Amino acid sequence: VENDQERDWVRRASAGDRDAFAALVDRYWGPVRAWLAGLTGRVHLAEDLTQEAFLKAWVALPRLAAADTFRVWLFRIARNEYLAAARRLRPTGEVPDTPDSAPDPATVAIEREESAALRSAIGKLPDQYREAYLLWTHESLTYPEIAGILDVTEETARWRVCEARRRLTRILEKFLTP
Amino acid sequence: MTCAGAETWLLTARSASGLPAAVRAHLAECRGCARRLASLKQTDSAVRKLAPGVSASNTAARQRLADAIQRTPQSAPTTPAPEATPKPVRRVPGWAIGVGAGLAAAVLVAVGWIAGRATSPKAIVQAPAPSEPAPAAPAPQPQPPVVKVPSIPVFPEVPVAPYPRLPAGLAARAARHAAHVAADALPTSQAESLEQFAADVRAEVMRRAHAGDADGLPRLTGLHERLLKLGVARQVARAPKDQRPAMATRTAEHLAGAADEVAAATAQLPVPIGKLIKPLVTACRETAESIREGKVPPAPADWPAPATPLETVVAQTLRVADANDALSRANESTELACALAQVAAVLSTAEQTDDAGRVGDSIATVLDAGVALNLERVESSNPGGTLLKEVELVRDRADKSMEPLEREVAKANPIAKPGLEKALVASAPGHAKATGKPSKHGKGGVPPGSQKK
Repeated sequence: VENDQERDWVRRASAGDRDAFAALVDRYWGPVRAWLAGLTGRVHLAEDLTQEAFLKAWVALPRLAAADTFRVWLFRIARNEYLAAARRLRPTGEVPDTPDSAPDPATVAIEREESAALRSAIGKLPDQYREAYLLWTHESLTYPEIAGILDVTEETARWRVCEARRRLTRILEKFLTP
Repeated sequence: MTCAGAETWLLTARSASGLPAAVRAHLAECRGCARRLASLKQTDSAVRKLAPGVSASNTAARQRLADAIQRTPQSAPTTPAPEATPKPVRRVPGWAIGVGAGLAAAVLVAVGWIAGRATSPKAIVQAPAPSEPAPAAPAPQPQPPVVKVPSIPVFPEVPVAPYPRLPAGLAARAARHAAHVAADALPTSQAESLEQFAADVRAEVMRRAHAGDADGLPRLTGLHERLLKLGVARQVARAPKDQRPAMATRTAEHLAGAADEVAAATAQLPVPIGKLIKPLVTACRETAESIREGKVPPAPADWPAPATPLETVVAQTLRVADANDALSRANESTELACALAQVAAVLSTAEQTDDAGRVGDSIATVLDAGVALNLERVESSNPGGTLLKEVELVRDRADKSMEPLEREVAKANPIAKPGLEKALVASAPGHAKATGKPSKHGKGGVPPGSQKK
């Protein structure tokens, strides 16, 4: 938990305050959705899983022992949702397309090729590296937090991020400016 | 510090400031490692930018969550264990008292001996001759992370993430995919939703095949084929020209992979069941090939009659996906809501109350994003009001779309009633938006998760 206000939201939400939980949803919806979209390669599926994860968090929040662990706990629920979906469906392992909000004709062509290569490269990472790396990049989580979410040791979390970055830079070598 | 030694540090650090002094010193001297760190940061930054943007379906998902939270109670907090009740007093036999006293005496003797050893004066030892001072310990060098087999969870205090409900069944998932199609008119999004829909049907076929439940398989494989050929392939063909090649390649790859996977699984099943599953493989391969060649695959056989509720939902979803203008989408979405209401009624009868509620959520999305939003678009793009009559007609049909559920509630038995009521409450916000009338079944207001900061 980053600050006292967030800790307060967690406490109030645990006591049944829906407005406090809404504040937590506002804070974490984007990061959880982005992470799940990176894992599943499907925006719609990621949104469904995010919704389910938050609903389960709401139901079980009174049983969360320490408000400080909310973020890790929430991402663990999201991960459980992802694993359940992955068992049901074959993962595509591709990062979803981002809608172009402000297309710039001069750079779109180059950027499109680069993003396609990047998506493909992330899609080729083994699941365990991808989930650790996306937590590290998108959410700037620490290694102990990543370890807590993935239920591994801190060293393993560190190794997975390390390997993911090594592989990505190798694949994307030609796109990286020297 | 060598380049090889620095490499692992660079791979685990976010920036140079997080590195140990020795590595930073190496970076200042070594241009290659400095470039390496810059490349890594560039990659991370590019990955961060890939986060999906805001979409209509995202708003709908948040709305569904907000509605669900309004009607979902929290679980009870963990309560401390009750005090243990005093055990009944038992009489101790005389011989046991004697044995106990003996053991106590032995323990006392042992404790006395240990205490004596610990407090007795120490033997005098000759002081060692002065010697050369030991060399100072080398400055601790940063150690690269060691790979270990994971063993102990780092955060043992984090409770196991909960699973309060069972995962949704096929009907509820189908309803969700149908709602996605109604909520997002972009061909790329519709193709994605329909592909997921087909994947769910495929997974259900495989599940039933492995369970030996073979009788319903032909209808489901037919449904799968229609979703791919009439749904996915058509939407890929409708995608904008600049996005189509990448999308076609990606979709064809997924389908080819799925075909291989099913074919491999089929080989492990009894031959008669394998034959029933084979159409899955054929449909995936034919669709993949057509998409690669830029063609629309030939239409499958006619729809079976009478249609099952799931088939009705699929047919209506495909109609919504094909609808080009806002008025047609709104009109087809009312039909879809009606088909989903029938599915909710069937689920309620089977006592699948949670799934009926999930279908109710999807109905709300269809009525909100599929009907209300499209009618708004029609009204705003038609200031003269020439289409006013048509808009009112669609609104009226949306109003009646919940009638199957309302009728069933009136005559439902105690088993079906909870599911029907749950579906009605869940669908109420969408119904209110599509009809412009206050809801009879749910509460209004700004739900959590959608409030402005």
